[in-house]
Parts: sequence; structure tokens; C-alpha cells
Amino acid sequence: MEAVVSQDLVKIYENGVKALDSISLSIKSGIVFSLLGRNGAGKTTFLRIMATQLLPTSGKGYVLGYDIVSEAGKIREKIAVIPQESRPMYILTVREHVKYFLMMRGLSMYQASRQASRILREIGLEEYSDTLCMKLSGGLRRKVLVAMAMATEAEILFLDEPTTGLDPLSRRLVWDVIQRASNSGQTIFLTTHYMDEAEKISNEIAILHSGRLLTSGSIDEFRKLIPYKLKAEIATDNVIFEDIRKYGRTLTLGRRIIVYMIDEEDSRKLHEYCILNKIPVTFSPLNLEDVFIKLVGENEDS
Amino acid sequence: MRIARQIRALNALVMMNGLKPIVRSPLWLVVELSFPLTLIFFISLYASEKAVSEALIGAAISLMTMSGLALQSDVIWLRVELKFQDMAVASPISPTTYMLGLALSELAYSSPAIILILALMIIRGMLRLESIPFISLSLVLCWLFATSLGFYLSTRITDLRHIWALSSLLSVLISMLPPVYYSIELLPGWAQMLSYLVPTTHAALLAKEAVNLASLSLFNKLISFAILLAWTIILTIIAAKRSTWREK
Repeated sequence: MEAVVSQDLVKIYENGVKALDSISLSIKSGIVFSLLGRNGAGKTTFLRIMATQLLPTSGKGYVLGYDIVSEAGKIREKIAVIPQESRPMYILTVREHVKYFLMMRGLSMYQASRQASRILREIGLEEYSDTLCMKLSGGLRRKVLVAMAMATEAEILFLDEPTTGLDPLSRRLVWDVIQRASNSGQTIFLTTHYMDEAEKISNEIAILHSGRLLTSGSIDEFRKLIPYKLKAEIATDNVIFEDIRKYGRTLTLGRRIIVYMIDEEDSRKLHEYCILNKIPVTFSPLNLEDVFIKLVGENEDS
Repeated sequence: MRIARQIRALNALVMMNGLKPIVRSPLWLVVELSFPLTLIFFISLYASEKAVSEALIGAAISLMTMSGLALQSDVIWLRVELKFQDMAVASPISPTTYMLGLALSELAYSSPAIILILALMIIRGMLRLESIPFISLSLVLCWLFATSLGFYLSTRITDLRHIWALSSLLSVLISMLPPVYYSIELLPGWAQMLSYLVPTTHAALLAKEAVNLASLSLFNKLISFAILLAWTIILTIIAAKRSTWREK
């Protein structure tokens, strides 16, 4: 079954800004789906529309088969949202957050307490249960918010940039919780501009750029979008551009040249060239970031 | 949501935005009390026993008003700073329950102070059994008016700094300056006319009449009641129309 479906979804804000331009997307149930894009690409707008927080200008949207405009009430019973830059209330404890959020959604105090204890135990927050949120690190505070959403046992969790601003260790704490939620059968819809995050935890991804959907699919499908296997990064200082260009496709990013190579032979030759000319070089396999740069870069040019 | 679920949601909001923060930061209760008690203290130094009794009525009215006005700050804090309202929108809670829950959580801050003021009124022999319904009615109407005003303002203003300033200013304009703590007869004619435009004046008149500190004809009582109710209904309707639970 499809968890989230959009058909030609358009959003034009009152100030005339077109945030979404005919987005058609389909997301399967039970997966972690990441919506990627630069700041202002329209990720949050799309998430907020599908999470029934914002009305679309035109087009259709369905969550678990329900229409996002006319059946919002039914959708709200089955989803939970963690908005971008949301924060817990500093004066409440971790357990209170989860418990009261569940009660706010209609659970009895007894049910909410039991559910809160269970979820805090499951995601490793039990030792902080009675700690006030003001005493937690940024990563743990985010983890509390994700725990609140997870505890609802909602069928779909919408997480808007859940790790923005967190240090690498804290980000991994949040990833761990997201993967646990996914393992328990919940569908996770998250937005991010961290490519490594999407690559690490997602089953499927889509890229938005300036309100348009560039592409969507699995991580493997994304990698196949560019024919190169390896890339080399070279500082632009003391490099003769024409010499480098013959080893593969080049892209200049600030003071770096990135060389995308189709086979290992090209990389071996480039390596030899760099050693001969005493040019520092770093080789690495291609990742999602490269696909993103290529796709978004091409569209930026156009 | 069924009624039972709405009540649970109300309970949760009162706990998380009212009772728990009060228990952990009880200084707020002292702050709530300090303002009206300071005024009563000064009035007791310079004025008659009747004036002190009027000031006690004024303190109760003022506390209810401030409780209602405080709603605007919390609504905006939760919506803009914590993004908590976004989480509530995408959940089964209704907007009415959400707003009522927040309004009740504000009342939790003022309740101990109001109880103390009512206790002082009993000690002074001001409260009779038959006056309690009228006092309660005027206090509740006053709270509803201030809550609907707070709710309305929360839909108009999104900057917390403006709201904090406006909240303080409105508290002075609505609960201090009009004849709430003092008798309306002390004002010159033109100021009396102006005062009648302010709903708290009518709440104070009704409450003072209930404890024999003012004399109102049945017609005047009904007029005061109608004005108070009209303000409340009009502001609530405007706020409900303007408020955007689901953004457009």
C-alpha cells in the first residue's frame, strides 16, 4: 500500500512565491523516505501539506488513502509530526513530554504512562525519564521529540529536518531512533539536506529543487544516475586544468577540482600524474552527495 | 474526538502548561499575587475600609483579566518558538480543545491568588451566600472576555517581544486604569463615560453590586451583563474567523 501519494501538487503562497510546482510522488508503506533539497527547495512545504498542516493551492494528496483536504481528521489519527526546529518544553521531564503528548492525543493517563515507559525503555531514554529537558544535550532533546512521535504508534511519522544543527554523535542518536521506528513497521517521511543521513537511513529518496521534483527512487537507482564510479578531489593551486580534464569529467567547487572517473584505469593515471607533479589528491567512491550535486547543479545551470 | 478524549487532552494541556511548571517554578505564583496585593496595600494605607473592599473586588477582576490576557503569550510561544502547535495540528486534538486547555492552564497560575483574595473577602465579611453566584458570574465573564481578547491578539501578532509589551500595556489599560480597584464615582463625568466602554468596568460593577458596594438597577445590571457578554462573543467570533489552525 502507498503511504503517501501526491498528484500534481502545487503550492503558491499569498505573497506569490511558488513553493511547489506540480509534484507527483508516491511513497510506499513501511519504509524510510527522505526528501532532499537545498534550503528553500520546498521540502518543508511539501511535508506540511501532506501532514495536514497546510493547504495546497491545487493538486491532490493522499495519506494512507485519505484525501489531505477533505479527510484531514482521519489522517491526523494516524500520523505524528516533528516540525523543523521544534523544541521540548524545558520545564517538563522526558517522561512527562511523552505521557502528556499521548494524553493530548486522547489516551488515558494509565495508557499514556505505560506507553511512555515502554518507548523510553525501548529507545534508551529510560535513564533520563525523570530528567528535565533543560538539562539534556541538543541530541537528547531531539531524541525526546522523536520519542514523542514514536510513542503515538502512528502509522506515519513526518520528521522535518530532525538532525539539523546537531553534532555528529547526536545525529547518530537520532538516526538510531528513526531506524528503530522503521523496524517496528512505521513509515518514516523525513526531510533533510544531509546527504550522508539520507544515504545511511533511507530506503528511498527524492530530490526537490526550486519547488520541482528532480527525481525519486532507491539509493541504488540514484547511484546509477551518473555513470562514474570514482572521484578525485584536487586543490586548484598549481594545477594545470587542461591536464586534469583528460582523466574524467571535472567540476570546480570553490578552490577544489572534482574529477569524476568512469574506470579504475583513469584513476590510476591521474594518481600517477599527481605523484609526478607532487599534487595532493584524494580518491573516493561516489556517494549520494555527488549525485545530488550533479542533478541540482545541472538544474541550477538551466 | 469523543468527549472523554477531549477531557484527557484538556487535562494534559493543563498539566504540561500549567500545573507542572507552577510546581517547578512556584515563584510565578508570588508574581501573580504581588501586583494586586501591592495595590491593596497602598489603598489600605491611604483610603477607607470601603475602598479596601472595593480594591479586593478589583484584585479578583484584575487577576482573571491578566490570566486571560496571558493566553496570547503562551499561544505564540508554543506556536513560534517551540513549534508545539504544529504538532497539535497534525494530531486528533481539536483547535477548541487546544485553546481551552491553554486558557485553563493560565487560570491555574492565577487560581491560588484568586482563592486568597476570596478568602480575604470572607474574612472581611464581604461574601454572603447569595452574592457568590453573582461574583462568580462576573469573574467568569471577565475571564472569558480576557481570554477571547488574548486569543484574538495571538492571531494578529506573531512577534513575542511585541506580545510581552502589549500584554503588560493591556493589563494596565484594562484592569488598573478603569474603575476596577476603585469606585467609578471618583471619576469625572467624561471619564465615567469612557470607562463604560471597558468590559472590566462592568465586571467590577456587577461584582461590587453583589457585595453591596455599588447600587445598580435591574436595567443597569442587565446592560452591564450584556456589554460584557457582547465583548466576549464579538472577540471570540473574530478570533475564530481569523485564527488559522491549518494554514492556507
